[in-house]
Amino acid sequence: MTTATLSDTIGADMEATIARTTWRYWLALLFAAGMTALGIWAWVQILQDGFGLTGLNTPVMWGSFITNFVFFIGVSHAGTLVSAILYFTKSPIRAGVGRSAEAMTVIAIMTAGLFPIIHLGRAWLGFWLMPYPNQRQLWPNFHSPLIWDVFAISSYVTISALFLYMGMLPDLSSLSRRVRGVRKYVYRVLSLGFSESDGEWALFERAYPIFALVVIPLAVSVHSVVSWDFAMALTPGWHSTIFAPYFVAGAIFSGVAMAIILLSLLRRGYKLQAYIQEKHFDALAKLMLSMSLIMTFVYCTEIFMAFYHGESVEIDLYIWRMTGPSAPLFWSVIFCNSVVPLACFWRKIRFDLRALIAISVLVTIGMWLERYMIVVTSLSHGADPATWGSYFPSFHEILITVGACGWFALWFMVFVKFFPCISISETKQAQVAFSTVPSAGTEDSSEEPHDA
Amino acid sequence: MIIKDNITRRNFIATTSVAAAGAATLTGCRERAIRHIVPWVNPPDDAIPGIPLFYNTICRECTAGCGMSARTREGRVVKLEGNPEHPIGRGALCVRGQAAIEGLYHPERLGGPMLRAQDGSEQSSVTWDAAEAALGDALSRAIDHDAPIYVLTRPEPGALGGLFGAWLTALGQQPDQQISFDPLEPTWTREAGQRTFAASDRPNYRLGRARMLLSIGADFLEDWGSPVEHARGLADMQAGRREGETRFVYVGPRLSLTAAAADRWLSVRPGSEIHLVLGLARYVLEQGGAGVSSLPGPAAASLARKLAGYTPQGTAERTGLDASDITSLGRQLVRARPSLVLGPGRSVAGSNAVALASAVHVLNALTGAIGDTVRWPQRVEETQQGAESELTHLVERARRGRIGVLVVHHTDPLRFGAAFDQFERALEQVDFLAVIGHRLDGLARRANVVLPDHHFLESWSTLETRPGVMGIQQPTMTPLLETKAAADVLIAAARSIERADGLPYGTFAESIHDEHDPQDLQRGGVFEQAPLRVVSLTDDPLPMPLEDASLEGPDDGLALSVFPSLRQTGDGRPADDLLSEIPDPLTLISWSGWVELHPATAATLGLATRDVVRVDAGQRQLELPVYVHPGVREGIAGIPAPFATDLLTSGAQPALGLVSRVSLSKTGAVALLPRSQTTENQAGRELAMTTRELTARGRHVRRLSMYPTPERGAHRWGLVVDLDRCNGCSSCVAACYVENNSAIVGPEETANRRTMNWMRIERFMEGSPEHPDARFMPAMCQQCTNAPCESVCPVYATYHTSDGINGEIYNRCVGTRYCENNCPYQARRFNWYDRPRSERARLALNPDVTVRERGVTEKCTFCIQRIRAGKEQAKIDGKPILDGDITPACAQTCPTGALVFGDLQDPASRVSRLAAGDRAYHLFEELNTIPGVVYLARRRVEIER
Repeated sequence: MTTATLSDTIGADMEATIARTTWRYWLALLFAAGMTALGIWAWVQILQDGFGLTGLNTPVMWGSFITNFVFFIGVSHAGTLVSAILYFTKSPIRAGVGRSAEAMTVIAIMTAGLFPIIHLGRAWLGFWLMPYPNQRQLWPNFHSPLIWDVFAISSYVTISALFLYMGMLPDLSSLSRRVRGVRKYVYRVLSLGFSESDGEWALFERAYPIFALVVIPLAVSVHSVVSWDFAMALTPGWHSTIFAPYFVAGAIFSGVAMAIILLSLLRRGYKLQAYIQEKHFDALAKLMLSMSLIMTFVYCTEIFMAFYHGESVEIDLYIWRMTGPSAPLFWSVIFCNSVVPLACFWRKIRFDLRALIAISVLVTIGMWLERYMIVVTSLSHGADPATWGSYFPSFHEILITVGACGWFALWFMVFVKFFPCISISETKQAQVAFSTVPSAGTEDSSEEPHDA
Repeated sequence: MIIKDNITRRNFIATTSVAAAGAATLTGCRERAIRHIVPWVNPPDDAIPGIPLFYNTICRECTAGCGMSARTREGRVVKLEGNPEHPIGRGALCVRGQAAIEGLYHPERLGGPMLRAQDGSEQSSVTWDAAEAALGDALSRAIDHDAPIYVLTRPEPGALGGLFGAWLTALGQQPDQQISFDPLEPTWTREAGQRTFAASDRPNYRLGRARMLLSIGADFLEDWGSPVEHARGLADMQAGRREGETRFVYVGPRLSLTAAAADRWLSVRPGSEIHLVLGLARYVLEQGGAGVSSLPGPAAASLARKLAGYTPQGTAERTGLDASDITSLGRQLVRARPSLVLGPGRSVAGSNAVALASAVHVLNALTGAIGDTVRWPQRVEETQQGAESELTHLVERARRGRIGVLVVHHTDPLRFGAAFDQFERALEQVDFLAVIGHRLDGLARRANVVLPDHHFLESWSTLETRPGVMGIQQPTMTPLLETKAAADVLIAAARSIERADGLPYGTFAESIHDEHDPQDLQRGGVFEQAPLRVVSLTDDPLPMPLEDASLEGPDDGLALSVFPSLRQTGDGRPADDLLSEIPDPLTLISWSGWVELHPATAATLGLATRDVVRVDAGQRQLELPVYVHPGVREGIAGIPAPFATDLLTSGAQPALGLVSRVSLSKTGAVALLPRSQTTENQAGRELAMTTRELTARGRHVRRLSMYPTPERGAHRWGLVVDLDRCNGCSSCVAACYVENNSAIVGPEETANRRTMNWMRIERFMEGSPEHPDARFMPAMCQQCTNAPCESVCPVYATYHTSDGINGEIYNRCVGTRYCENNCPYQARRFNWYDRPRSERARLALNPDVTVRERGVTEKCTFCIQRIRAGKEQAKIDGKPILDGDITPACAQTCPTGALVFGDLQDPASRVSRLAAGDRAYHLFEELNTIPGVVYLARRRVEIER
């Protein structure tokens, strides 16, 4: 096969994800939109009647909303970070997973970013957290970790979106040449006139690494800042210096798990077995496994530190967390995050996509529960025993959580419908460079493992 | 139609005239409201809108008659405080007094009279003229038919009581047709006083002087006469003591609030209290107590004979105590001079209450307490009062024939349960029932005419609580509604049938106003030292059989102890919202009644907290949730009095608390049982500490910081909470609610832990299960120097004032609730919902404090509005702020002075001196928040066994 025909095949396959719209897609889209609508309905109720509709109460002032916030920030993580790291390590698997991971990042932040607003008692005044000249003659309080959040998240969403967009320029350009009608114009405008001339390619190759370079420290810092929402507080169970690496590791962990789930869905849904290969999943599984080991180490350190520094309030909390009414929660977290991923030590499991998906789903649930545990159990078992309490999400909170998942799925589906979910240009480069000519979707290669 | 494109002269005039007429009409509608925006009683010359005016009056929520100072703004009462010049309350109010304002603005208060139609069908609103005419007609009919006219009132020892007597006389009735109904009065003390000392009036108890106090079930912090005065007395007695200097021992079936304040709580076999008292009396008689030598001969002989059998061993056997307990108690009563024995209180008063009360009197006589800690004032001539008689008088009369008119004034015997079956039957004999009250409930629903009275904060009267203490009840604002003073209604009715001889010519108000000096009115009463009289034991002070209280009901049942509660209202009406929301300090239950059971008893019956049980007292049943805790004796079922009235059997006196046995059976239902705190103890943490624990722990290093000391303004406000003086009475909590416009959330939201109280009483049950030690700790915002809440607020809604207070700007809050998470003291509250208030309840809002919107957090600010007012006043006066000039609502009302407010930066202030003492500590010092609230550890005296 010549390079030109190869290029055409890849382009056609990618175009197909955009052009081919099955009833399954519409059904899924409708389902996601329905979930989103439910969440919006629940939020409107809360806006109308008040926060009493949540399950929150006096010791537990933060609950499922903050859990969702941290969770989706975590999910957002792996995407850009993985993509940027893979870029620098010149990893061949980047071509397959990079784009969707980056898209997942942006969409997850779009979801996460809703929660700080949803969770405000007076959400309609949420813009007061922004630094802008106002009649109150007041800047936000830069001591507050919540303000750090505002900056961290807005920076992260900006850079991630630009990183994603920048990487898509060559693809948009090539798409604009392949499609007709209105789309042609849209893609042409979006491609900013990128014409794939040698000079432009040279510029692109110089500019792209800058974003990739900025994204890595930013990703680390963003989740560190999110963790400081907790670590900076006096609350036992939160007030711990390990929280920043803990949350970053956790974020990558859950992000990788989510990436595995999304990629496998894409691969199946659009028959992209040629591009998203077994070896890619193998690499992600290895990453997930190492993150799981780090998490296990962090759990141990956290508990050790609680006992080591000898503050009875802290010790009480950890014992209560492990043995009290929330013990099932704690042990499910340990099971999902520390025990289940150990299966990835086995090569067989790493190449068994169904097993990987199962593990990833468990890890995703485990990471959600972990955030829930950190937020809720710490608050419900504070310093003053007279104020101990408990919390369970209310119906409205559950609907909003469901809505958030719907929102996430909705945007992801919209994204794959409008943009190539696998980098066309990089795939082409990779194919040429490594001469691993895929059989362009005609043959299901999932039976024979490829070793990377 | 009105605005057309082409405006002609004609339709212009038409349009504007319609608009003008509309405006005029609307103005006319509003006229009344405008007239009442500033509804002064008599517009004072120096009144300035925005500056509060205080009127001294008295509290009528119970019969204690504490002095009250009503803070009014623009002519409306917004807060009730104690009148410092009044000798009973001395500036303090109890939780009921603080909550009294709720009754004034209650949405159910009647705004005009209601009359039942001639055919007896419906009650409907009528004019006052019609109501008075109807009452007049009924009176004249009664007089014509020779049917008696009765007045049934709550205790009114004062001008109003006198007027009722005069009114009956004017109508040609007998004075004994005036019935004073006080179902909760401990009549046994009067009767016992008559037998032992020939003195049936109530003595004054001086708790503050006693070195040894023994309470036989007398819950004097909750009930028993004068809770505020007694709380202060007890705190004075316990204050400044070092280990072992004074003792307070409580004997009763239950660890009540009063028992929790004691050094030791003992419980005896229910009904056997009398043996303990007699055993102690024998011991004191033998060991030569201070009063033994001065006993009159015959009494000494009679006592020696009667007490001989009550040896410590025998007593121990009968009561279930150790003999050593009895000798040790006896030794203390002999040694401590003076001592004081109080009782019996409601929770131990049974069939032998008179004998028990007599035994207590005798014991006091033997220890020399009579004339020292127990003193009888000189009797006053009963000039103003009519000869009041018992309810039975009315019941007897009804049995013999029709009753013409019954006027019921602020009472309702039917609310005291089945005990008043006979009254129910008597009511059937009443031709015309006139009810003077506030709401259309209970007896008022059956009335021929309902005559809504002014609230006590709107009307005149006097109240002679005891000789030498005559409080003047005077209006503090113009009546809110179209109500009319009870006295004036009666006078008008009598005038309408021309039988008003001897009644005041003008209004009742004028007659009282004219009778008193302006200084007395300003002070709120006439207070004198009443001369004392000497009493001595009668020849046979214990004439009655001295036996156990007998308990009716199944032998295998639990002894039912009905105990007084802070939520008890004098007229038996269920507590209003504020009182219901404030949790019972001991069980922390709000909005509900409960049955208290010892863990062992509950285990036997297979019951757990929140299980609903059917309480079966033979004839009567009741369903209540269970609360299991170690503060009640095994084999006892304790029920708070306001929730136990349905169990009262026919003929029972509601004031007696220990009369029956009950059996409990599980219904299978589980109640909500809202509680403000779900934990029982402090989990080994150092919150409410005793001096011993504090010494053992040692003091933390106060200042060890890398950061510079924060800059301070002229003051650093601080609050000292003396845990030794705090008895958990919760009046501070009520004061805080009223002062700061805190919302009331109801039972479900209380159970969801969403109460809006800025201040709470935390209760920790420490000690062993056999010797539980209930510790109370008032907790509010600690006003930290390094406040964790401030640094995390993204929008500066909470900030640090130059006076060291953590201020809160509600309008700036966006509701992240981060501050609440970060507060180790959990002092902040979040507005989960908007809490709409009724039109009337809005009038009670303190205009100095913002009403918070849904979605914002709020918290204690040491009543910053009061601090501001104090500072402004000092500035106007050109003087520095003196210690004590500024007092937050909680400290103002504390009956025991457990809360002291002042400037910690001023080394001479009371707070500084207290904070420098050995007992001072901060909560969670290790967090280095450096709070402005300083706790003083509790001195706890363990009595040697």
